[in-house]
Amino acid sequence: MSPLLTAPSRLLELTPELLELVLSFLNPCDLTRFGQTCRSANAFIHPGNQVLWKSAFLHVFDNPKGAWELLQPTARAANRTRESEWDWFHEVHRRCTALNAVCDGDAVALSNPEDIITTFLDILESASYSNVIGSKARISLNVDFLENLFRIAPRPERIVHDYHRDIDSQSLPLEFMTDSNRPLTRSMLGRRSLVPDWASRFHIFYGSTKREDDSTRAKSSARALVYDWSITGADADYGPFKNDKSGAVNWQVLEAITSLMLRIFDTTCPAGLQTPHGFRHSIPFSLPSDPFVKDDWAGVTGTFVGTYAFLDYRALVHYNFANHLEYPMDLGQYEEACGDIMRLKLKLSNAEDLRNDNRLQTKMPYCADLPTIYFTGSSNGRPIGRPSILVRGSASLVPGGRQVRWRFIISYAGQDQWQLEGVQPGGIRSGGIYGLWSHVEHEEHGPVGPFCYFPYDVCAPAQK
Amino acid sequence: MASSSATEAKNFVMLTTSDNADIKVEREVAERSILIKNLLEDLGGESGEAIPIPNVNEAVMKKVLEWCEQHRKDPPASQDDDSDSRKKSTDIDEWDQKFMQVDQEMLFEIILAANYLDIKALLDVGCKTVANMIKGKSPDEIRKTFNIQNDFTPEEEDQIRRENEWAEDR
Amino acid sequence: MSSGMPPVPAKDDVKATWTYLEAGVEKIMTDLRGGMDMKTYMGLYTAIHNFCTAQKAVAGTSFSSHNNRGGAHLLGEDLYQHLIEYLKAHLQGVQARSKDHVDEALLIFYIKEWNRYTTAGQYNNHLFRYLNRHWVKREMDEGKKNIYDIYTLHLVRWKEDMFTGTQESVMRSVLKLVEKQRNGETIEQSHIKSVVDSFVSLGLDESDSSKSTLDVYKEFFEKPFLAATGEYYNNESKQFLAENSVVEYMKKAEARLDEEKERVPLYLLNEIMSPLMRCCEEALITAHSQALREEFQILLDHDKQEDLGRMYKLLARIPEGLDPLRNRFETHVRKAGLAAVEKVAQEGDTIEPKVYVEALLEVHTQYQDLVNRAFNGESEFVRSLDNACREFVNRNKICKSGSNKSPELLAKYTDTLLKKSTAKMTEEDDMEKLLTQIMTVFKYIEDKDVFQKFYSRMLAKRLVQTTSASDDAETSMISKLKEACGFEYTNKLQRMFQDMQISKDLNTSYKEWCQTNIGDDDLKGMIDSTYHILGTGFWPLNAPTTPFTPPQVIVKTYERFAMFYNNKHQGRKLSWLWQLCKGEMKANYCKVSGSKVSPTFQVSTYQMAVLLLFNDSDTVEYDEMVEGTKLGKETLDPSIGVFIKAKVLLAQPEGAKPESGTSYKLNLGFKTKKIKVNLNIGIKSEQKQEVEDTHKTIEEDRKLLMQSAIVRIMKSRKKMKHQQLVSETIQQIKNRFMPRVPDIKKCIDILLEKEYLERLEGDELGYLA
Repeated sequence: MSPLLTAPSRLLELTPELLELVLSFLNPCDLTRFGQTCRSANAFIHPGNQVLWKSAFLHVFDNPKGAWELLQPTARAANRTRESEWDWFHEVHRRCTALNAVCDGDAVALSNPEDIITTFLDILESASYSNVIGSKARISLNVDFLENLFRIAPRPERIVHDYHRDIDSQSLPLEFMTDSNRPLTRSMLGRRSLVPDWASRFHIFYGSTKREDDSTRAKSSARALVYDWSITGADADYGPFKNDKSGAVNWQVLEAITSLMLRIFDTTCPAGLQTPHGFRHSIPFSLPSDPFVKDDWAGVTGTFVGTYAFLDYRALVHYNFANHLEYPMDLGQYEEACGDIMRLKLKLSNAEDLRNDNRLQTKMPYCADLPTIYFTGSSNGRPIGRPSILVRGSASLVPGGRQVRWRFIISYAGQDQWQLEGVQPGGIRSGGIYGLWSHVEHEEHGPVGPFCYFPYDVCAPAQK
Repeated sequence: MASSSATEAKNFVMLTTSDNADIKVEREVAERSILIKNLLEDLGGESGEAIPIPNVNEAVMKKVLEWCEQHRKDPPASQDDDSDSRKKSTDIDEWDQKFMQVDQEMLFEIILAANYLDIKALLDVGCKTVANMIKGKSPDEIRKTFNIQNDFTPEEEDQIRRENEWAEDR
Repeated sequence: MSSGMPPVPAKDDVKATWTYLEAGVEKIMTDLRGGMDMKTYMGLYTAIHNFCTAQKAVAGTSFSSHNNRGGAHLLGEDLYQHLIEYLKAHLQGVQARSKDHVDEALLIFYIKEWNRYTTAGQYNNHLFRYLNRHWVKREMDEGKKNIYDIYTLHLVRWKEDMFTGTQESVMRSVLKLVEKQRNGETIEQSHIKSVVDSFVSLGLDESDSSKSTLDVYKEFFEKPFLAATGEYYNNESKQFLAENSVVEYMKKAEARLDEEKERVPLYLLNEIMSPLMRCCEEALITAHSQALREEFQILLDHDKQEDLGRMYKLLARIPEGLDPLRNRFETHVRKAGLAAVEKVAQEGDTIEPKVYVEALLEVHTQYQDLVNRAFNGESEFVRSLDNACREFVNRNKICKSGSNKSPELLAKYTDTLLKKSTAKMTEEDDMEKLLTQIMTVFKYIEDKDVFQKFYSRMLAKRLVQTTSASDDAETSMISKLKEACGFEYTNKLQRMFQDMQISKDLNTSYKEWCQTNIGDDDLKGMIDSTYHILGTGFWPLNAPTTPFTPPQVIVKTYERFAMFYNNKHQGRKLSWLWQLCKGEMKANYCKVSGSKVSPTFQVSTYQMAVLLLFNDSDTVEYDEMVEGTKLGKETLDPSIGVFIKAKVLLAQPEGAKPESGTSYKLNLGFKTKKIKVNLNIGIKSEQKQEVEDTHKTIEEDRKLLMQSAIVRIMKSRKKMKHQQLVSETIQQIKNRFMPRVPDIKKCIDILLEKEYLERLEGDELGYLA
């Protein structure tokens, strides 16, 4: 026993409001260490002290209110329960535990990856940018947290791929990691496999991985979905939606498109541009809106860059028919062709003929929190001197109010040619738009393929 | 005091500390304390009467006034002290750091005085200083720093360490 | 020190602390005027601070027993509850004393207590600041209901314990004062202003105490205030109208509305402006709008501009107040217009265009003036005026004989203005004014194409006969028409002008050509001649209706010109419009009375051909004339008639009709005082014929216009419903004339027949390229 025993601790003698103020400057680690000093301290920081745990939480994460307040009414309403049941201690505990499990390779925790991945998705969904005091930089602690996680975790890509589990792959041991082609990823599973939405969504938000880039099977499986005529249709407006008129995103198809298009854009895009993917491009409202264009909630006004890909038509036909035979065709070796980098210049238009344009109508439901907006513009490929291609289209909210749905109609010489039907998975004014293109007339057995477009500002090098 | 000129009365106030010391201080400096500011507003402060400060002694009061002097021109603190993380950074400016290099006894006295006199910025600096004394330390180091008695049994201590492992920095 | 306060109590003793505080709070509440010393102030603050900081964070019960969704337990609630009890008791006393006062005295009492109470509230708010900073803030952060900062708590208590019980009598006193003022008495306005301010202060936002609302003020002040106002003016206006005329009432209402508007900034809240105005308008205007409107016709009949203006201003303030006036006004103007036309129409079919147009204009001017002065030039009244004018301009007594009468007469009036004779007397400014007036009427003309036809024919004549007074006036008129109807409408008119200019240049170069290409002898024998070359498509001129053999001398002259012209423009065909040609002939056989000069006859080319026959013989048989000129009887006979009438020729036997067997002798004894004798006199029957022709071509042109509009529409739309096509066609050409639906249908049938269009399923039409 220390000789100082008799002298009382000034710290513990503070009134509760002052001790709270002192402890509000501590992050969760320091706070819990203080709690380990004695029984009274431990009692003071108990999980019920939401004031303390809120300040500890905010040392590591964005205040979720920031993201919640940006939600559209429908999404906000769906989020109400979560908001009212919010527990600062529980949330910080849950997030740190998920981080630890991944970093430690905790086999038990990892055997139920849904908890971990949905926690990460939650971190992403409650992320928001805010200004650093005294600086113009806008940071998000949540994005920093996730990016840091992928820096420090051992073999981080398995977080993306290995948790795409389904019945077929469950038999394989988790730690069997020697073969990068091992068939455990969604994009490595092939079509018709049941993959949970959370797994696909996380992959999309994360962006492309080295593993899928190296894996022939990954490409094969992604193509197997994207080039399958039956994967979409009239009830999905020929886009990456569930083929059931619901207007909901088909995350598996969107994942496959993202997987292919990120790689293709990366190899096609000219020097000076970079492929924007990853968590920081998956947060709504990360791009500013143009203050001079009223009503442009989707950030239509401006330049977009993107590209598209296609199979040789004979291969496409062969694949789709062979599909029903005993030995389905493997598209792994079959490198598709890719188009030029296209530049779209768009501006908002409120013209009546656009709003009444047959090609811009849809029977699928959308979220009416924000009005469908229309735009016109031009598209330019690389060869200069070609006549520019006319583009028009619309942007609306996917039911649920989180993702943005885009349609582009491309016409040459006054004739409508292609319909591009895409989804911006990161939400309003986030990063890339991914989707499927098809001929506007949608005749049976027509050519189809994936495309992507990015707001130019997120590809420009100034964006770091 | 009755003879002091009108201008002097306006620009200076007299404080009487708990140990009955009189300290003459410029009104602007004293008004860093919202308590004194409100009091002068309510009572006029024209009488030249000394303001009794029954909860602060001379030594601490002088220290507090030293800080007030340094920060006399600071903009008034905003009403809502949002507990947002970026504001909660434990950075302390250089002058304040030096100012806070005092023994623990004085440090806590300053905190109590700032709380009593209602000087928000000084209270924050004091509490940040204490927080910085906790940061990065093991429980045992914290106990030593603040003279905290460990009243856990070894088993309890072990259990509580495991319970808190999730929060360890990575 | 004179505080009389006991020393600061022990910090953990609630009872002692409150007893200590209560004495201080009581002094602040009731005797702040008596002054407070610093020691007392600091004593109170310190007692509260010490009480709240009496517990240690980690000792005792501060965390373990506390609910598990908030922060640590903080001290202060006891003091807060004590303060509430104190305020309740204090306010009960105040309320009880308020019962001793009524009317203005009650207001004075209420305001005095309010001021004292809120000042004390500010003090207490400062003294209890430690409570505000920690305990209250924590309670509010955790979403506790009914916890307020100390000042707001004062307001909440006042509202509950004082306001609720007294507001009715306070408002009664306020309304009495206001009524006094409305009755013309002087009142102390500041009382009311203070009451308003205090009611506003009590508007606390239950969900966010940092915000305030106007709810309390709206419910307890605005609502009774408006109700009293409405009642006051309902009574007053009824009584006033029973005893005075409507005109007098309108003055009264106007004055009352101004008065109420001025009342707002004096002692009311600006927010009340629009509901107060609506309330007054309801009582003063809407309730009596029927009576006002009934007066409208009388005022119109007597042209009472000032009263009409007042009525307009009043009724404009209420929703849909003016609609019935507009309808009446429209009817009134239409009747006035029809009456004016009726008056001038008594002259019968031969009405002077000038008289007719001026009658129309007079009515328009009068009522436009009224609209501008009394109705503020309001666009809806302008529209009513336009509707009325359109009606009486296109459908009146004169137009009964034919709907094209108005445009025809207007065009004729324009012609007389622009012709030399009239124009001479008209200054340039006046001309511009007259043309603007014409455009005023023109705006209302529905059959603008009829006007165009007549106008272009008359313009053609003015140009060919060089009777146009001024190029400036002509161009001004054309640009006005262009502005009103567009380029297409005036295209041909402008081309006619161009042709005239080109002809002038052509004549000059023809003269030069003659100098170099014609021998001197030939030159001497030439007839002086000028030519107008008029583009076929642009001029509303017809080929001659009669055969004609021009005299040899003229043939020679024009063949030479034709040579020159063909040289210049190969392949162009010249046709001669003999009926428009004219010339001058010298009558060497006689002299102007009292001079040695022979007179010059101005004649048409036809007449010239007849007269030239007399160069060979003094007497010419009718049959020889027919043979020599080849002119048709309907042209030849009137031409001879002019000569007989002017006594240039004498019929033999005298008075014989122009027919085979009659012979004509040159009157060698012709007498005249003029050097130039105009024999080229227009023939009545010709003019009448022209009018009929004009009307006929209009019908043809309309068919073409409709057809081309239909084709244009279908070309851009490709497919269209029948009904939709008809209405769009009307849309496109209604600024030329009002097409009739059966006519459009006929045109569609023609186009179907010509296979420009095809019938599709379901009443749809398709375009065939």
